[in-house]
Amino acid sequence: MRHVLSLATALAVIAGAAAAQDDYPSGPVTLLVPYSPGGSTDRTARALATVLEEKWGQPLVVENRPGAGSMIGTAALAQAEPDGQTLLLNTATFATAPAIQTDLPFDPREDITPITMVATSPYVVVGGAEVEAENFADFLAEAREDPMFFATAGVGSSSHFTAELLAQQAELPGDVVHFSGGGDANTQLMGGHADIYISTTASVMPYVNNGQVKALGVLGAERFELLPDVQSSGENDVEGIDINGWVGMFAPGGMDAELVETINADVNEAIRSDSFMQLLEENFVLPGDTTADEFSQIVYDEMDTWAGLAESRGISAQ
Amino acid sequence: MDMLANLALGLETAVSPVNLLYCFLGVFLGTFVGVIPGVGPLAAISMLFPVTFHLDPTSALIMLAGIWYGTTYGGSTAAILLNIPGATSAAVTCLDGYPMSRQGRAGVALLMTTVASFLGGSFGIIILTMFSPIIAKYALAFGPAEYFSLMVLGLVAASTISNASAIKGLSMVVLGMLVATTGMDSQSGVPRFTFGNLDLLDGLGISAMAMGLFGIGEIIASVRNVDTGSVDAKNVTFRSMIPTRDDWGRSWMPMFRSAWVGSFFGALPGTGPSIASVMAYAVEKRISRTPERFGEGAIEGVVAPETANNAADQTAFIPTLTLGIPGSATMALMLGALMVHGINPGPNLIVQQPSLFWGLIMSFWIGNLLLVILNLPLIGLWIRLLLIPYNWMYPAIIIFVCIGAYSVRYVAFDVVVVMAFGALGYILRVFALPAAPLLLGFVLGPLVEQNFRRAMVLARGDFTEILARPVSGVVLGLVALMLVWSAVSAWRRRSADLAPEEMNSRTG
Amino acid sequence: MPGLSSVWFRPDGARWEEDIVLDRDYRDIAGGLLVAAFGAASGLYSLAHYRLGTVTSMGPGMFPTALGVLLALGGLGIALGGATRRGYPVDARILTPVIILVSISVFALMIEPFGLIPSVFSASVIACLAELRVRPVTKLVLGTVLSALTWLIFIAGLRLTIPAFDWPF
Repeated sequence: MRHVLSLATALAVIAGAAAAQDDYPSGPVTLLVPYSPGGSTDRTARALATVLEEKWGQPLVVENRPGAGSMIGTAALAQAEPDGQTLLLNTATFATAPAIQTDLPFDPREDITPITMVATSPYVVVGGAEVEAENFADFLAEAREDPMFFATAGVGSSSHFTAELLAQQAELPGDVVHFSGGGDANTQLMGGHADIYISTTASVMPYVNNGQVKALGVLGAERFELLPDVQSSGENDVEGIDINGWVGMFAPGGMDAELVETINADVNEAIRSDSFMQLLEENFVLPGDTTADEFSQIVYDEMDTWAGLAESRGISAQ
Repeated sequence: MDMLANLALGLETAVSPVNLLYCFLGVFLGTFVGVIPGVGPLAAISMLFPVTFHLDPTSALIMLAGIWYGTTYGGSTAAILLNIPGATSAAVTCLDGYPMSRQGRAGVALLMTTVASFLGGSFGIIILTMFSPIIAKYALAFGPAEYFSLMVLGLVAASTISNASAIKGLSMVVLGMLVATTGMDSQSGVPRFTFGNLDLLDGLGISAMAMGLFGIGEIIASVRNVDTGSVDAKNVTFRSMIPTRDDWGRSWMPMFRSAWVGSFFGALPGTGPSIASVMAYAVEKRISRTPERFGEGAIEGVVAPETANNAADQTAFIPTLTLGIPGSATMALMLGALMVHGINPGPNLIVQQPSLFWGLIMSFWIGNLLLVILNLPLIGLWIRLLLIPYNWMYPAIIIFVCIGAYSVRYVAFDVVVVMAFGALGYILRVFALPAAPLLLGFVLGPLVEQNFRRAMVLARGDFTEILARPVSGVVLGLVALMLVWSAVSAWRRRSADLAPEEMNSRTG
Repeated sequence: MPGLSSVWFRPDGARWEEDIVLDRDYRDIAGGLLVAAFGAASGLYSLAHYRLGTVTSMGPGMFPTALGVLLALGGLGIALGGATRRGYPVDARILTPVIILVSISVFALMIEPFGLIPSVFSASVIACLAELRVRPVTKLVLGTVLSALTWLIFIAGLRLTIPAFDWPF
């Protein structure tokens, strides 16, 4: 009798576990976006939400929690239950901000589970009204001759760290100036108040296509397949820059491995949907589609890179 | 003739039944949201943003824009009736609107507000129609040095906004700037005065501050002092809404000037309706021959900010549409609504999407007209709110303020912030310290600091380079002149009236 | 009025028979000193915790420290002004502000664990106490009306994502 009972219990547990995965999601899912509505990450989130909503048959609520270089929204995720009902879409700022905000109320490695990379593109170096160079080679020469001002979307953002990385690897003089977001940084370039802004294709290409700023180069060894005419930093002998911009899906820390698998597979399928692929193409972005482990590896490697850069360039919140 | 053809195309787009419907929906929702304290245009537009995925981009933008300027129309209602700004841009409207209401002139204030809003909005639309490309070009010329000097000018103007002594006004401006440093320092990433609280990292919200400082502070002082409705029934008749000849005479020039002030600050990215309304009020008080009337129910103090913020609402579309630069979070949302449809706003938008651009502009006219039609009959309804006994009214106001503050980010701590500012507001009243300059310091302080630090990096630490730039040099020169002038006139006044007994120095 | 200058504070708006004139403007003296203390405290805190930098390259501490010093000076100025002229007593209430502020705090504490309607009901009933009159029926009616009204406006109308009821356990 006891055996029967325990067998029944065991079966029930297994069935329950299986059901838990099959039943996911069990209710409305909240997708946190740690940026203001209307920006490129927010648009990506809403497009992805539309596809996932249909797939999951549950409402997906996009909730904007901007502030403090995306760390306010990320902290909200760290506090949520790891049941998959709360997810987060963040950019590479997830890896840069902890390098400068050292007293975060959560551990970005322990309290957050990377799920998958949603989209990726190289960082584009754009030049403003006062920059004469039209390509990366001329830019390097001009910047060495006449030190330039690097605009950032905010202290600790990926545009801040990529500017520092480029300045270090290419041995460029110059100063960084922190503005209030990517739109502000692009505006300052157009007005000629600052010279260079480095960000992902999605946030700079609208301005490049309008002819308001120029794409001087992309960071990395190779040119970017969607912008074949733009030089790469590697072909101009600037070595050691091997990073790309990305948008990724995250879940709270301590999530069950099977649930991670489930969400990873579902999101990857959503990324490959026609409507989402079209959005990526319009924004000069490539689909991510990684396993959770691959994505974790990328995120943790970047965290190490940026923490090291913060040390070597003397960047800290002080 | 080109312009006529464009306007005709725009009108054709805007009066299509579908777009008319969305325009009406937008302004209706905007008015509604504007009247409710705390729930601002950003919250309303965020809620409706997903809907725009399924709409034609022109209709979507017409609706979102309607919410945006509709909120400003509605925002003054609670400011005038209850001393609580329904929208941040209506905070200065409290200063004279609420005293007017206490004098039984709420109807006049609301009516003049509607007129001022319509005139301001119309003026903004004209500027938007005729001069968009030129203004967009000049807006780009404003860098950190120019913003810094402009904000300093604003601070100097701000310190005279109350009727209290100069030292009290200045101290409160400084207090506002100090309070505003709370949160992550934008230039170094250091969290200042956050005491490890994550909810403070993004700073204190302006709407929580305005609601606490004015609204809650007012309630604490009024409970048990105001027993029944604050006006009697004869003050809510239709006749009581009609402004006197004197009201019109006083309002005419302030409206005209404020339309310019509002259009200017609206078109500058990073500033907007809130700063525009503050500046317009400060300008009028400074120009006025009877500045002592301000704060005591001067009609100019109501029409100036309300003209300016509505003008700014319209001109805020200039950088957004013609440069693709959103000047505020709300404008970023409007840009987002276009970009989900694959439209990239920028210098080519007018050429590539003429029916969208001109349709939107014509919808602004229609929307503003709808708002007047919607608001005029509502005035009679709103002033009837004053007949509700105060002991029924104030718990309701407290609840609405709490929900409004909470709904901005869904963070309970923001309600605590309202409470703290309510306490501060009451303490200031007890010690007869003016709250308005504090609000201005709070709004302008971060802009002064950030832009000064940016400008110093760009000038490589050489302050003379900031003075050498034409715009910032002239504006800072003006600031110096104003300071010298007020010092001289203060000295003259002092030597003139040393004689009388100083008993009359009790200030309100 | 000799002998009355020590009565500079009137709690809870109690109405005095006559308007008392004091030999100093204690309202400005107290207010000014309070402002000065706040300025000094903020300035010192900022000086102790944040890097000053230089005027040409300001650190995060420069601006708040400078403002703290200015505020301390301004507060002293206000107090000095008050010490040189006659004035009226400080007219302050204690119970009313405390009740109103408690009502707001109750809303802040309850909104997340319990949802909209319990918080609205509790906060409005507490706010009613500020009248210092016992009218239980009125309070309950008002609490109920407000709960229904806010539910209608914010949840049914504006569709804010606040739960009407929640249970923390």
